[in-house]
Amino acid sequence: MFAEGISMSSLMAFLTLLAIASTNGRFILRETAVFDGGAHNVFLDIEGATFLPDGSWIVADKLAFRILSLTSSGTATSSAGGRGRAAGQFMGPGPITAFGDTVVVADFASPRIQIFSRNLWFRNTFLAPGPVFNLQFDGKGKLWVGGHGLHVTSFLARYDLQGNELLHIEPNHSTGDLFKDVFRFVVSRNGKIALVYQTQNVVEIWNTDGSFVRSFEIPHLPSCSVTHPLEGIDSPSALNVPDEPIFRDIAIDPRDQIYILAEGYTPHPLQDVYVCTADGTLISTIMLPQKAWSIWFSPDGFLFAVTGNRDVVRKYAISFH
Amino acid sequence: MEQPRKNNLTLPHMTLRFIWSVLLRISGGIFLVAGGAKAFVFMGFVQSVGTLLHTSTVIPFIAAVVVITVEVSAGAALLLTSRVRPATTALAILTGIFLWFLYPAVALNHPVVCNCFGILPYSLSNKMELLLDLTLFNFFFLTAILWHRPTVNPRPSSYGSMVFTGVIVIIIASMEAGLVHVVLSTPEGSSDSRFVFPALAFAESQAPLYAANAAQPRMLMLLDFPDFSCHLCFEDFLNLSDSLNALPILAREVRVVALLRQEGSQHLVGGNRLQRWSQETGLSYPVFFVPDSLLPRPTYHKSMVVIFNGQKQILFRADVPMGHEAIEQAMRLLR
Repeated sequence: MFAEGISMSSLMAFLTLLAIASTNGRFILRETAVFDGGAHNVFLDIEGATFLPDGSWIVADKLAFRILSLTSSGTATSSAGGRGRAAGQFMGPGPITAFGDTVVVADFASPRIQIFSRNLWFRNTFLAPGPVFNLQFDGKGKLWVGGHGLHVTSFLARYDLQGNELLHIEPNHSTGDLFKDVFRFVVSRNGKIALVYQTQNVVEIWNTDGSFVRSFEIPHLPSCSVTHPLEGIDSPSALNVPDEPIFRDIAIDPRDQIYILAEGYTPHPLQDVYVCTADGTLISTIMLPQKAWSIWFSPDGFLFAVTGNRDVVRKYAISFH
Repeated sequence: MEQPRKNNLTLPHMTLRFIWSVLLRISGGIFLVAGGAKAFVFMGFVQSVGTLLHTSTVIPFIAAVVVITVEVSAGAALLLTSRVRPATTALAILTGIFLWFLYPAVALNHPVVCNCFGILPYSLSNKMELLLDLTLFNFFFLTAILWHRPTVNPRPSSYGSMVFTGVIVIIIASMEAGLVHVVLSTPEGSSDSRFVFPALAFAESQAPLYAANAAQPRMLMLLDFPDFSCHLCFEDFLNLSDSLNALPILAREVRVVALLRQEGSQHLVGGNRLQRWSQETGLSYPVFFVPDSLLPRPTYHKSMVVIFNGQKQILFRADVPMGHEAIEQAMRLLR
């Protein structure tokens, strides 16, 4: 039954892709660079990456417990971290963002947020109310943190770099169920926040002043992931866990078009990217050449994707025909 | 004036009583020896009790003292057929408690090592131990109810006490019937053991030093990398690894092996990636990929830690996340 439901969703999504391709223009991807760490296997498990103003970038390698600074051509220049809970160490660096001279990293699924300089020197640390899903600076250098406030609903909040909460948003479709509430978000240059739930087919648009704009869903994908009781738990109140996420990641290009990487229920899991505008119009789809685990845009409009075994970053130029 | 008779038992009664006394002496002797044998490996028995109680506080120590004291004193009393009713009552309670712990071990297929015979070279499967304890429980329970000294004028039982005793016997008999049904319907060998022991053999084939130290307690980790998407599980695994790092080098490098399922950990396949991950994570024990067929789903569904004793019996088993107490307990077993 579930399988039939999933197949039907995939079929509808496939037809949607065909319809979009025939009625709208197409986004053409062209791979321009591959960063695989070379022969030294620099990356073990890329969980996130961010750009610095000079074009260099910093990668959070979760399983290597470190962050690496790379030149624009992908050569590693320095690193920081090591496993541990001391200042500057990680239990698995995850979400990462940068603005000006500041780099901010959260431990994977942890409330701990650490601030570094662009030279990867540790500055300070603070704790969010719960595990951090994602974090990002907006165009004015304000830090936005999305996470789950354990035992309550999820949150999207703006912080200063000392950890003081300046603005708190409770996403509209947050339920209190951790599995349903996990989301990814991205902040555009002009002050819009696009948030997508991983197991709910919902995209929410917010202004950075905390006002809600709208929510919409991606057509022909299921409204939420199929869930099943957690194996091995005999309790009648056993956790229901999602079979697989609907969406994996979200990115926004310099023209404020939203790119949503789909994971399950789509014809090409981890390859189909649904492109829509902030008003909810689905304008196109892209099929990435390789499966991707996360996507983001550089300030100059190149699309980056973590591919392979989460150890290769590919850079794509996008053109519209 | 009628002379009191010294004994009003008939021959069949005397024969039955003789057999009963012999059985009491034999069972008393068994408990006396078993209790004494436990005293010789007292700390090992404390650890076994701690494993059963899932605690490492002073409680297992006290429980071990109580068990040994009861077994030795009640066993001696039965051997001498002295104070039979208090002794059999105590042993009925004790075997009842044993049954309480053995039942889930058998029904849920989570074998436990009870060190029931201390230093003696005897070991029974949990199922056999449960059936033996069930037999002993019935024997002691009935003895505690029915045994009385031969007297000149035995006091007749009241109707009320007979009804009460009958009801208790029926209740216990019905509970035992359910217990026996579960035991008999449980296949021999645990569901875990269907993959744990093949995995152990695989670990031994990969790590000769691990195989060479089979006479000592050894830890086997069966890891499913996707479990580490759960931060709690990953931190627990790191805490366990840190605790192992604190052990003497021989204990952690030759008596601990981790097997990693390939499904879900493709990003560690190839080149020296697994070794790099192991090194970056600070793991001081060998880690190997294991063919997924050796840890088949759904029987295997969660990362787990197993400790074997020198007879390759499962001394300890816990799913990840284990928690601080279980990690401490595992470390004590490995030391």
